[in-house]
Amino acid sequence: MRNVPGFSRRTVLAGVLAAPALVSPALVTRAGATETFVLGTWGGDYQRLQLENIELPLVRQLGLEAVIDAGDEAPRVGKVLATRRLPRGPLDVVCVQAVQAYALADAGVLEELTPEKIPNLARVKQALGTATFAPHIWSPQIVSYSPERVTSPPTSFGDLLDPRYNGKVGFPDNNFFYVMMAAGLFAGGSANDFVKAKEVMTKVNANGLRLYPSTDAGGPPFKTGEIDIGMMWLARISMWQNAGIPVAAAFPKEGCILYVSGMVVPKNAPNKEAAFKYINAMLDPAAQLGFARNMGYLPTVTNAPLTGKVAEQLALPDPAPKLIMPDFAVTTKIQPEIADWWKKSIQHG
Amino acid sequence: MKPSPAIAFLGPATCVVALLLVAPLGLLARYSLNKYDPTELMIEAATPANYLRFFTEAFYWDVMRTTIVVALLVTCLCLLLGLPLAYRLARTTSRWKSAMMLVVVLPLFIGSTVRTVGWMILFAQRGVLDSLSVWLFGLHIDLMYTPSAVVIGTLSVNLPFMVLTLQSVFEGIDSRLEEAAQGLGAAPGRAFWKIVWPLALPGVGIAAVLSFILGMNAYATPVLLGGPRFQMMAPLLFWEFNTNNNWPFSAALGFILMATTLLLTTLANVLIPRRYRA
Amino acid sequence: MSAYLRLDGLTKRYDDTLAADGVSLDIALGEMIVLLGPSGCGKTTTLRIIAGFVEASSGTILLEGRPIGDLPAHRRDMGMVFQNYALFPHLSVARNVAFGLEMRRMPRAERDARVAEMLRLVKLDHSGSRLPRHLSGGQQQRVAIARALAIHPKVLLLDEPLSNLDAELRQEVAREIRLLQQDRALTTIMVTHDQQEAMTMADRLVVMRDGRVQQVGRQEDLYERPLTPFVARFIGNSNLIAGDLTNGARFRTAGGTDIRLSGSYAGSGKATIALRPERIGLSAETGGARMQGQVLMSAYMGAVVEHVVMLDAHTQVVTRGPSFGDGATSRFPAGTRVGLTWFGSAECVFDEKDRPMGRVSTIERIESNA
Repeated sequence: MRNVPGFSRRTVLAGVLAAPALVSPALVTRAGATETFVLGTWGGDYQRLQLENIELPLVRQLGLEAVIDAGDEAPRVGKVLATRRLPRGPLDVVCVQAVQAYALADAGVLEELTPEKIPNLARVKQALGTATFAPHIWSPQIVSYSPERVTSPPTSFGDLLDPRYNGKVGFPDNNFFYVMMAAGLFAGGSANDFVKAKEVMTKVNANGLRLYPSTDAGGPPFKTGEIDIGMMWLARISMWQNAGIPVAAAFPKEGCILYVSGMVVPKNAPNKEAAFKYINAMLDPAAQLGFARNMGYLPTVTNAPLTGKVAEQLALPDPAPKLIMPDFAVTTKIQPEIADWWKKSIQHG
Repeated sequence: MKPSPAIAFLGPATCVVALLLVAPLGLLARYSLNKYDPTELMIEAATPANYLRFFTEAFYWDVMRTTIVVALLVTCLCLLLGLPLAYRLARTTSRWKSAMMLVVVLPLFIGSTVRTVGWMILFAQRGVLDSLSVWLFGLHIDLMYTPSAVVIGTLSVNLPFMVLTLQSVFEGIDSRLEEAAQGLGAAPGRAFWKIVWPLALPGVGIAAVLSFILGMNAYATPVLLGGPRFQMMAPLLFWEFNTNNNWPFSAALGFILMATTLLLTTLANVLIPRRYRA
Repeated sequence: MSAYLRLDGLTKRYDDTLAADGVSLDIALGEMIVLLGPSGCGKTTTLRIIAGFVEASSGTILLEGRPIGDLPAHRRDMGMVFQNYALFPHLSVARNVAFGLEMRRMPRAERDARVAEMLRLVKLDHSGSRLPRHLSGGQQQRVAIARALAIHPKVLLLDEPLSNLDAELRQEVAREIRLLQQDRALTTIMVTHDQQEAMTMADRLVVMRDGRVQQVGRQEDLYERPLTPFVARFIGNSNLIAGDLTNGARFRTAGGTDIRLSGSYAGSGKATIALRPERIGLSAETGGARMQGQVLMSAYMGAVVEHVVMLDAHTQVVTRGPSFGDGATSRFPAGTRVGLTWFGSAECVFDEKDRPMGRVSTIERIESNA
């Protein structure tokens, strides 16, 4: 499971090489009995699950077939921005995280999505989406810990600063921006308090923080005893548990930053009708439950209740934790600066 | 004047090379002078800012220094291990020679990223090496995400190229020259040093340059074995491109990396005594 | 007598083949020995064992009475000239010649004098500063000889030294080497597959086949008294006729032709006769001939006239006679029936195991025109 949404730094060289050839997937001829549209998405398991849970059971019967343009998120966003002035863009449906959806909306390149165009939008949890962004999956960020070595479950991001865990704190490096928001939320009461976040992260780093090069690499260290505590998505915890890694999730009392990933439609998408139908299928309860079972992400619609083991693993505690949607108006502006600071002060620190 | 037929044949090939190699470089050069903007991605400009950013911040110098040190170290180790191996391979008359060659080439059949995953399994805490060391000496060894891991990993990527290049270099030097030297009173070591080494030097230089360039541009190994804290140029470049969408700066980084590699390679060539050059 | 260089039972085994199989030889000081044989006969292996490049599986080498088999090549003081000369391409001619002296740490002045002397010897006085690749093949070969001689070797080893030269140059260089060798009394072992070259240069020849020594001797010994059919054929191209010997003197070929031998031999059974082409006389008279046949073709070669005569379906014989003078051979057209005769000593008979058969008596001469 390498290609779960996140700030992935995978060696998708193919993606890098494809990026300058901005319109290549659109060159695939739209011919044959079925109508095609271009789906820009993450490669790997996410793409496979999209095919198995959305396209094959729900979209093909509408006479539609997706042409896949797989790759990392940043090049995909870059592609939408770079082709904004073309009458016909290269992509119809673009899979992005909420933060990137906001950036694209801010640039004014996104089609407005309404229940008239996409009926299932009516049942989407309002807090997760925007006028131009249809949320697909979501997961709260929690404190991950080893139930074997951590005797009393952590209650806050602040537990990462506990001297007991010196040299035993770690998480995948590609989640840095979300961790920074969690640090701000803990230290300054706001996910946007990056001044406080930098102070706290500098301390965590000085205590021997361990960083892992991919999301996958963040799980095994709980098993080997390399780390005891870290920050992760609830979805990942259930996946790691299923893989036999002894790890548990604790909901920080200051609140959980939300990871939301979904789909947008560029204004210059050549086949908007197909895009709307695809997104509608994506919001179908059957498709939503399929993703929860396979990836541990929570459904974004109100009519897909979880049952059985998945429901147990993904259950939110009672009383319900505070769920914090980042203020993208701030985060999109500050992200380049934070990325640079992270590289020079945390990674290199 | 009518062009000669030979030149006419060169035409298409030259066009392809120009299109596939030169054009992207030109585009990259142009990008590196642009300005970055979070919404617009790139704003057309002719600013040296991206280059100045690299040269004015100590961080980037550090990354470049690490890259050069790793590439040089790997090249030296490659020579140290590869020279005897390649020499023995070139001179062996064993009927297992082709099998031995296959063993050297075999790693090349597996992508370097996959091989790196192999090293990860070997280096990981409670991995193969760690468990072995605990069992043998009762000591933990933690190589994962260390510079040593990167050097060993890169070495394993470069060594087959090195051995193959050197093997053909030695194969090209008549073994009778060594016999002649020995017949004239030179002990085997002296015969190698006086006769084989000077003749092999240009080829050894080429092999070293190859390893150095591979080391300078290493990506998968430093990312996977070095971890996020280990900074080398190629991963930094990809981070700027892929995480920050900062094409102008990553283009500038690409050019700086290329220029540095070229400069050091040329320098090495100048340092090799003239009479030994091919 | 104790030999200067003695090879005793040298054997070299590679996996399941024997490259050299019990090679024994005594070589006197100042003698020129030529190892001769087809490729793969073990002559080069033997030379390389002597030089120390190949370790013998068994056997000993004694130089001046001391075993040298365990000495590495660089401590044997052998001067080797390689087939491709193996000159050091990055060193000048003078540095090539000086190499062995440098290895012996000879003082500079002495070394320079020796190099100059050697270059003068091979008539390359003015080429010392040039690189080998700028010299002609013949010049390169002389550098190789000068380099080998500069160290005053105990034995000079020549591995097919002439094979890379033009045919014209070959004769000349062969004589030069021979003169030099005799002049300086150099104990020399040369390897060649060229019979002509071997005859020209050797004091004694060693004919080898399949790793074994077939015969050692002077040119005359090998030519007149070959010890095996192989030597008879390899030196001077004898006709080999296979058949059965009965009563010591009656020979019938496999194809049924009767041959009247010039001697009677101790033994009978399967045998081989070796006959030199130039020692067979041809005549139109078939009555008193030793055997009869039909001319298949004839050729006028200048100095000699050659006939190919078919005895029977399985046997052909080549004859060669002078084209000029008293005994001039007449040419017979194809299809002519001819008689073939020879004098007693011209025939050699070998038994089933290719051993020469002893002659019991000489049978009375048969009348002939030859």
